[in-house]
Amino acid sequence: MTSIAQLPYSNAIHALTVENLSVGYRSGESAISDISFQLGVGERVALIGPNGAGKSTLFKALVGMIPHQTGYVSIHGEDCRTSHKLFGYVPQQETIDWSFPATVEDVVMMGRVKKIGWFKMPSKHDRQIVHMALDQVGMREFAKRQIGQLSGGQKRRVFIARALAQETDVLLLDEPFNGVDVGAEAEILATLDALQANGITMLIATHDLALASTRFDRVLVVNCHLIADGAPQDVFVPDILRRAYGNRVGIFEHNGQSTMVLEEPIA
Amino acid sequence: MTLEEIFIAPLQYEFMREAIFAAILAGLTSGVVGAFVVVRGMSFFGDALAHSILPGVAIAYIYGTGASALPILSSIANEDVRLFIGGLSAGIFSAVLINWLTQKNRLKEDTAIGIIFVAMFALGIAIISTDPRAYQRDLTHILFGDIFGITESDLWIMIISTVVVIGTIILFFKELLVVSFDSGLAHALKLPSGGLQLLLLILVAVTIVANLQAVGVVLMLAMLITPAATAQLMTHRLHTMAMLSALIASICGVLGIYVAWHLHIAAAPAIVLVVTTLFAITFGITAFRKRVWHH
Repeated sequence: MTSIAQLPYSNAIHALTVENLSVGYRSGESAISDISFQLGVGERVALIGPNGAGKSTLFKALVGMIPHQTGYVSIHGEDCRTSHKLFGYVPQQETIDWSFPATVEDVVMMGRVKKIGWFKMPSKHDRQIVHMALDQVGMREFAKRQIGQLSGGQKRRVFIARALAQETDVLLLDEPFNGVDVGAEAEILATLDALQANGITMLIATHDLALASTRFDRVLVVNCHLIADGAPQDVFVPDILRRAYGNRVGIFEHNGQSTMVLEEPIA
Repeated sequence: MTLEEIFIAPLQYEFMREAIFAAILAGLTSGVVGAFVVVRGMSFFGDALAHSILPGVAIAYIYGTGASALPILSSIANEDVRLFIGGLSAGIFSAVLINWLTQKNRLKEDTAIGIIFVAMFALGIAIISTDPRAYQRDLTHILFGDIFGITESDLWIMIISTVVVIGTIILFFKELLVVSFDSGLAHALKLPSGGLQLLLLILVAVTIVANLQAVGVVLMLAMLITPAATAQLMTHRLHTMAMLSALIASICGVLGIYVAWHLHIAAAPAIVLVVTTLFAITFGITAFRKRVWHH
């Protein structure tokens, strides 16, 4: 388990730095305003917040799908606008056309497109990296399958492999646990554990607060603004959840113990 | 009738040989480009673009020569090249206009397409109707194609377009694949996502205008969609799908010419009906095999 405080001083350059990031309202996107945080190398951080809080907007702004109004983003200390460093991006699965004519191998190779370069074909080296990425997520034997023929958990792992094939060590995962069963969730978590052990830094948006509180050592709470940033026991407290979720959270006090009930419609 | 009488005898006519050559070229481009149109779900856009080239073709046709000629158009000596440039300009104009209207969610994409497509088509018909002779005779050729009347310069335009379109797709294949499958990844990889999307729209426009004489505006969509949809039933990789689609479109194009010749029907609908028949058969076989596999 790694957290910023335990990292040696020489690793003080953060894997990801976000300073005062704001994105204005456009229809279909939630606005985010003045968000700042840093991820240390090898940290795995959950991003939570109600529907429409701007979790996906934050990811889209980080990868450059929507322009920033203000703010600064850097990967390993290099400004994102000028650096060649890339985010590994695992989009929400609902945005993917699963009938698309592509095999598992094809999808993972897409992560290599920038590295291969214009007007060039994938080399043997590229194919090796694709196979290694598939090995890392335990999907090598499915390489020739059409992507629609996979289970929910397998699909997520293929997209994680694609992000790894980008040869980047900062991954953004948008709702990787959405709509998968308990078994698939465990598979994905095992994959993420293995990646973290290899020093991969991950920011993971999730609806699943139980998961965020038990399987992460740091949680960011957003609702347009960054509301809280800390360990689960410091973040899952009545005051913060009320500010993030408003009247969708019910808090009941009894004998000095509080019980929180959250009404969160699935997106 | 012997096979020789069916397939070889008609080839004694030059217009028949040229029609077959044109059908092959049209099949190659519309097959390959159609694969992208199908996987990106752009069929409505493709249909709209085919219709919206009409005013450009009409202006080039009516104001190309004679007393009312526009200097910029009459400077192009060859009429077929004039029509090609007129149609392509109108096509690219419409594509950019639709793109602009849908940006920042001003309008839903299908609404924008619907408005621009019919307006451009109406404008084209209005322009052609200023010349009663053209309205009666030539509008039919533009709408439904005239593959038996294809000229040598038409064929040259088709050859050059085929080389340019297929060459561009080969050169940018992996980038176009990423943009078509997941535009989020295209951004994360810092690929010029907008430029690649525009490139694809331009390739669709070039394909449509180049194949105008062969297939016509109204039936163009079938050449873009049906061979590619048939190919998608046979494979699950995009490059195989594009190659199969080109092969299917070319073969069906040639068969359609023969059907038109022997049954004395118009060529473009014959081609469309042949390719649709092949789609229906492939769909049936696929559905049957799925049932067998699953039981």
